Amino acid sequence: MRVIIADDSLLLREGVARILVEAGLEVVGQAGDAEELLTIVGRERPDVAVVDIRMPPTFSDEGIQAAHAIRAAYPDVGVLVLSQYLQTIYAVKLLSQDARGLGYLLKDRVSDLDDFADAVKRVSAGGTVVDPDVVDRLINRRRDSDPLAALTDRERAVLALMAEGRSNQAIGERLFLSSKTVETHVGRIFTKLGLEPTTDDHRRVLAVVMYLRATPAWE
Amino acid sequence: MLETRDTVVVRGSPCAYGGCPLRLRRAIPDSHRSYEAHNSFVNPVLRAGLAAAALAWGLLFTTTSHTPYGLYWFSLVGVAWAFVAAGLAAWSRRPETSMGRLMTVTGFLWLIPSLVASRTPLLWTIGSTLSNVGGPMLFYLILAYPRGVLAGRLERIVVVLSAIGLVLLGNLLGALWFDPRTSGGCTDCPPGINLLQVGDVPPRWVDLTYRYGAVPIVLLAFALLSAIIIRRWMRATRPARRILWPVYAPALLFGLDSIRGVAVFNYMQDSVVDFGASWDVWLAVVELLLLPVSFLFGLLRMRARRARIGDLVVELGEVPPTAALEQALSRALGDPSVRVGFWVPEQRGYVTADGHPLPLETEGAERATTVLESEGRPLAAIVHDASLLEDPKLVDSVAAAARLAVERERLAAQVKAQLEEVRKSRQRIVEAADEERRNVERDLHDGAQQRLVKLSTTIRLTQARVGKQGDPAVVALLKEATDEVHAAHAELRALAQGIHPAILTQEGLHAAIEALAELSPVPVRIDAPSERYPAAVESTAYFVVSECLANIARHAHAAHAEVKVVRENGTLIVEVSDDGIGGASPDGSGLRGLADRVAALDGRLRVESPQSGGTRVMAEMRCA
Repeated sequence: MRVIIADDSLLLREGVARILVEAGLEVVGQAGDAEELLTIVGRERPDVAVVDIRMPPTFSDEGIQAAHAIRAAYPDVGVLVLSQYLQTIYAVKLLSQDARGLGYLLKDRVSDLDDFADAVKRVSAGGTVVDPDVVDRLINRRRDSDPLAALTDRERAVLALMAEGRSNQAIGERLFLSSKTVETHVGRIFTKLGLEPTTDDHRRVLAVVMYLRATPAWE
Repeated sequence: MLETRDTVVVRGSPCAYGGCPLRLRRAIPDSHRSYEAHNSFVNPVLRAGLAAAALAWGLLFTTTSHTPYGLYWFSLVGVAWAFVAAGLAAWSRRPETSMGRLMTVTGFLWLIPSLVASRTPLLWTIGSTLSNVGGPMLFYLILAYPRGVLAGRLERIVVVLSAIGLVLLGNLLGALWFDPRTSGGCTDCPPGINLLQVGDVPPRWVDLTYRYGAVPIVLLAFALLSAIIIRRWMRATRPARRILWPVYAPALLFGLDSIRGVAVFNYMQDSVVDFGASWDVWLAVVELLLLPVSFLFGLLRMRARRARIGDLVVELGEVPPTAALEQALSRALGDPSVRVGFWVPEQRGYVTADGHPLPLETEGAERATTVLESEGRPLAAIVHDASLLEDPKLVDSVAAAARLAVERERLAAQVKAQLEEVRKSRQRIVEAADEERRNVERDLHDGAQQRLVKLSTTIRLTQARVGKQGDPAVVALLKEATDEVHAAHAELRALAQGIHPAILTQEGLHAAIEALAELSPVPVRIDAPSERYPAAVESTAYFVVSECLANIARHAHAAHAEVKVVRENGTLIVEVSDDGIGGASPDGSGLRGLADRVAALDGRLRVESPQSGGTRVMAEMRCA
C-alpha cells in the first residue's frame, strides 16, 4: 500500500512515516502544505493520503478541504485526516457530502500501530473511519429523554462501532459475534432510532453521526 | 479699564444686520462699569432737565399760538413729546445704546416747526426752513435700530437722500422765495421775517426741481427704507426677529403709507394739508405716534428677557443633566440654536456635552461666540445668534448664572472623556489577553503536543523492535511509557482547549458552545445563530457560557440547562439558565471576572438566582 503524508511539521511527518513503515506500508511522498499535497498525489497516485487537518495558510481546516479536493479529483485515493482536536464538528464537516474513502482520526491514535494501520487500510478500501474517542463524545452527550436508552448495552456497543465506520464483519470480530447476529442488532438499532436502514457502511456512518449530533439534549 | 477676576470675553461676529467688522469686546459682568459709575449722578438730572424743557416748549407753543388740541397739535407737539418721553425712558433703561438719546433729539427737532409761532425773524426762519428736519432723523432711527448706529453704506445713502429730498430741496429751496404774509396766510408777521427770502416769485425751475427732483427723491428714500426693512426681516434669525418686529411693523407701514401719501399729495392734488378729518392724515399721525412707542417697546423687550434669567439661575441650581444646560440657556436667551462647549485641556478645544468638538463661529453674519473664562483660564464657550449681542447685559447675566453650572458640566464632560479613555484601554487589555491566549494555544498545538505524538510513535517503534518476546520488564515499562504519554497528551489537549478553544476561532460561537455542551454532565439545549462576531465578543461570550456551564456542573444540581444567544440592535445577549437549586452569588470569583470582561465590552452581566430555584445569567455586550 502506497501512502503519502502531509503535515507542516517535519517532526510529525517523520514519526508517522516510521510508524507506517513499521506497519509494512510504503511511504511514497511527503508534503508540507495542501498545494504540495495535491501536486504529489497527482503525480504518485497513492492508495491513501494521511493529512493533518491544520496546515498553512490559515491553519484551520485546510486538511478537510484538501481531502474533499483529492476525493473529487482522484476518487481512488482515500484520505485519512489527522487532528489534535477532539471536536465532533470536524468529523461531520469531513463526511458531510460523501463519506466514502474518508476518515477522521486523532493524532495520538498514530502510535496505536494496529489501529492506525487498520484505519489506513479501511480508508483505502473506500470505507469510512471515525475516531473512537470522537464517537464516544457523540454517544455520551447528556440527553434528557435519551433515545439511546432504548438500546441494550450490546446494541450501544454495536452503534458505537457503526459510528466508527466499521463493517458488520469487523464489528463481529470485535464483539465476538457472528455477522448474522450483528446484522440483526443493526436492524433493531435502526428501527429503535427511527433511521432508514442502509446497507452501505459509509452511508450509515454518516446517518448515525448526524443522528447523534442532531438529537436535542432536551425538549 | 477695571480688570476683575471673572471676565466675560465676547467675540462678536460681523453684525447681524449688516457688515460690521469683527470686534472684540471685553465686558465686566457685575454692573460696575466705569462710565456708568462716573455718570450715575449726572444723567438723571440731565434727563429731568430735558423733560422739563420739552414740556415747557410744547406748552409755550400751545398757549402762544392758540393752537387747538386737534390733529395738527398731535402731529407736532404730540409726536414730539412722544419721542422725547420714549427717548428719555430708553436712555435711562438702555444707556448702552444711543437710541434713547437719538430719540430725544428727534423729539426736540420735531418741535422746530413750532417756532413759526414766534415773530422773531431768526426763530421764525429756523422754524420754517428746517420744519422737515425731523424726517431724516426718523429715517435714521428706523435704520439704526436697535444699536443706534447705521450699519452700512446703503443705509447712509438712504438717510442722506431723505435729508436732500425733505430738507434741502423740500424746505430750503422753497424757503428762498417764501413770504408768509402773501403765501402763508400769516397776518401779523412783520416784513422780512423770513431771513432767507431772496425774492417774491420763485423761478420756474424751482417748481420743476421740487416736482421732479425733491418728490421723487423722497419717494425713492421711502421706497428704499421699506425695501431695507423687508430685506432685513427676511434675513433675520428668529431671535433677531423678536427684537425687530415691534419697530419694523409700524415702520414698514409708515414707509409704504408715506409713499402713497407723498405721491398723492404732490402729484394728484394741489391743496395744502387739510387737517380736517381725512382718514389718511389721521393714519399718518397715528403712525408717527406709534413709532416712538414701538422703539421703546422693542428696546425694553430685551430687558423683559432678563427677568427670565432669574428662573434660569434657579433651574441651573438644581443639577441638570448634561445636555439640558443647552436647552435651559436656549430657553432663557430665546435662541434655539445655542450650543455650549466646555474647555477640555487635553484636546485644546471646546467639547460639547456629547463629546464632539465645538466649532467656534468667527465667520458668517449670524452667529457669535461668548467665551466664559475664570481666572484667566477658558471655561466654556457659548455659540449663539449674533443678534443677542444687542443686549450685552443679557448675555452677561446669563453667563454669570451659567458659570456654576458650566463648571459642573465641564467637570462632568471631563469625567466622561476620562471614562471613555478607561473603557477603551480596558478593551485593549482584554483583546491583548485574548491574543496572548491564542498564541499560547497555537504554540502548545504546534510545539508540545506534536512532540508528544512524536514521542509516542518513537516508543511504539521501540515496542515493535522489542517485540512480544522481549524482556517482559522492558515490555511492561514501554507499555507504561505509552500510557503516560497518552495521558499527558490528553491533558495537554484539555489544557489548550481551556486556554483558548481553537474551535471558537475556526468555526464560531455556535460550534464552540456545542462542543461545551457535549462535555456537560447536564443536558444542554442550545439556541444560537451560526453568525460570526468580532473576536473579542466571541471569546467573551464563549467564556460566559463556559464558566456558567462549569458552575452548573459543579453546584447547581440541575436537570437541564439552556444556552440562548441572540443579537439585537448591535447588542449580543447571551443567556445561560438552569433549573437547579439557585442561590448563586454574583460575587463569586468566576462570575466577578466574567462581569469585568463583559464590562470591558461596554456590557453588563446580570445574575438572577432566587433561593426558590433556577439560575439565569445574562450577559449583554456591544457587538458592532
